[in-house]
Amino acid sequence: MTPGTRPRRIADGLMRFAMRITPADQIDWARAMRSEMNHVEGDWAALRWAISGASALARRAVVRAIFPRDGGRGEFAGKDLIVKEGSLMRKTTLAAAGACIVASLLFFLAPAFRQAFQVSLTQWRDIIHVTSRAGQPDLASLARRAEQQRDPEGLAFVAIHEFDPVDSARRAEEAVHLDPDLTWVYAVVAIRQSEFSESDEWIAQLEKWDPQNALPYLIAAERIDGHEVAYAGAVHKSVPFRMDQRSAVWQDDLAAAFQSAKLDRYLDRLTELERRVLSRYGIDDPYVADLSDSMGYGWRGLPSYAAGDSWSYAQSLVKSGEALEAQGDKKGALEKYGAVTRFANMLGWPDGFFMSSTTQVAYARLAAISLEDGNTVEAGFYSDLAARTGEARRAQFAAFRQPVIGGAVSRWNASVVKTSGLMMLVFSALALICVLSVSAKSLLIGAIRASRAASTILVGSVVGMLLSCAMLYVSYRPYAEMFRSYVRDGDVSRIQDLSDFLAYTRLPIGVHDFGHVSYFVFDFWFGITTLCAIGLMFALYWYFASRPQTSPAI
Amino acid sequence: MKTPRRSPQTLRVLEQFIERPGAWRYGYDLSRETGLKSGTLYPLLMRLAKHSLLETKWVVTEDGVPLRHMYRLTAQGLALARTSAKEVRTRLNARRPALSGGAA
Repeated sequence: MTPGTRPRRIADGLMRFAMRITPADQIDWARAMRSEMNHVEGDWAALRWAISGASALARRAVVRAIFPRDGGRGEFAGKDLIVKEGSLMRKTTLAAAGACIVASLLFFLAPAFRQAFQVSLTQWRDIIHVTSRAGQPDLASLARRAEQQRDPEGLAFVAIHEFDPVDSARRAEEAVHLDPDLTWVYAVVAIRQSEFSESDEWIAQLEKWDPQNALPYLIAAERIDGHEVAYAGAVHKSVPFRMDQRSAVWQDDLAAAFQSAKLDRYLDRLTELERRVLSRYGIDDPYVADLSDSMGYGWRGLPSYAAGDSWSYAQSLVKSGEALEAQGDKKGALEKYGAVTRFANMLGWPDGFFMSSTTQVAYARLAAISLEDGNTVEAGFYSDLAARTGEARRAQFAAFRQPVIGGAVSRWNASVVKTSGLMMLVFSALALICVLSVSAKSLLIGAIRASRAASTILVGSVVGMLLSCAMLYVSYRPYAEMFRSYVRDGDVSRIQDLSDFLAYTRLPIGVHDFGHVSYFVFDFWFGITTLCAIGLMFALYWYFASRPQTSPAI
Repeated sequence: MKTPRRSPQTLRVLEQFIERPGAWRYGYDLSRETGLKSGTLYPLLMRLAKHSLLETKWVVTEDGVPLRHMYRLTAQGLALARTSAKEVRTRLNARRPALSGGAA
């Protein structure tokens, strides 16, 4: 009876393969299974026979490879048959579990996976540390190396990413002292750490170093805003908003900003500095670079009050222009409107959104004056710019209202990474408990049979652990690649995705926005404390309930 | 003294052998009669044989067809099979009144 059909040929191939890996002392049984297959009725039944038999033989071969044979036992006892069955079962379980654990550990050999694991743990940072400013161990190590080498760029990098304002200021000054070309770092650090007392001196140095730039004036204006907001809060008054309420110094700063020839936020310099330092110090972890803070999320290189201040001042300029027009001073009015439109162009989009309606009015007035002067070409040009500004505002407004697709993808991937990391920890803990349980049972009851439930949970846990590792690696891998191409090639096209992703990984699982993190931290610790208190009450109850009753004194 | 637990599959195989004690059986026949897959049946047979509960032989059935393996319980195996069958019956009998709601 020669196997002729395809299923039988496959079945025969399977059995031949199984025979090849079967231990020598069991080869007769493999032959028996194969020869018996020729008598199985039906081609598919023969294939099922082969699959089942070959699997059993392969399982035994694997077990034999991992647990070398312990030699023959003594004579048979009825119990021994059962012991063998249980023992084989236990060995198979342990072999499968061991293979999964080894495979999971192999993931840690990949640097991208180690980063992914660290990133997945970031969500606990705000929960474990009471303040978010705690714990920048990698940055501290970089700072030490930069200080030892007296590397101005390294120090500037640390100053930019340092949470502590005093250390940040000290390192920024040291960096600029070593290399005055890094004076722009003052602007970046002053914007990030708005409560600096050094800012006044830094602004003066910035104005001297880059006199055509509007940025130092916007930083100075923001400092005044900060003082005014703090003062208004302290004396329970409203924050000054109208132009006649604003201080002369603030108005001078805004006037200087609007008259400046350029608005350089130093983002290109910052990107280059970041890349050089990351490459020089061999940093391949985006969290050390802290891109979630510096390059992407919420960071556009401007003081947070800049858009509002510009809008406020632009309105005052347009009003002044209208007043001058009414007095017949067209030249003066043109200067005012021109200052508004020029500054709006320097701000660009979306930062220019706030003052866009004022910009549109300025263009419209410029068009009207040109028309009055009989310059129809210029009037048409300004009218067109006014219309385009209106369209751009509407488009930007619609964009603000629509969900950001890139952000949603990053949020989803961040959730997968956080969940995978958490599941890895849960499955590892479960597997450890099961291993201890199985080992304890083996020792206690003579290896008769590990609890079937424990074995099942063990296998489930290690398989879950392996799958979690794979999921974590696959989800994080594209972001590791984005970071690498940013450092290596300066590719910033995907840096916003990376930045969004890193920012979302900071959110604990179940928290959907940054405003709720503090509530979550409170709820988390409140829950833990409550559970501990309940546990303590149960323990006390159990202690007093089980204590022997003493009879009252006679 | 603890009574060893025996897997239902082992008991099913032993039961088949008791039906015709002394008769040589083919693996495929045992598989069909017990409903066990080859991957379950053969490891059981291997363990029985290893503990001298089962004897095996190769036979020629017809020309051009490979040898076939046959199995039969040894005297020791037969004794274990009968003991096991008796234990199972005793256990079932003990359970029956409880399952039917107890004695009337």
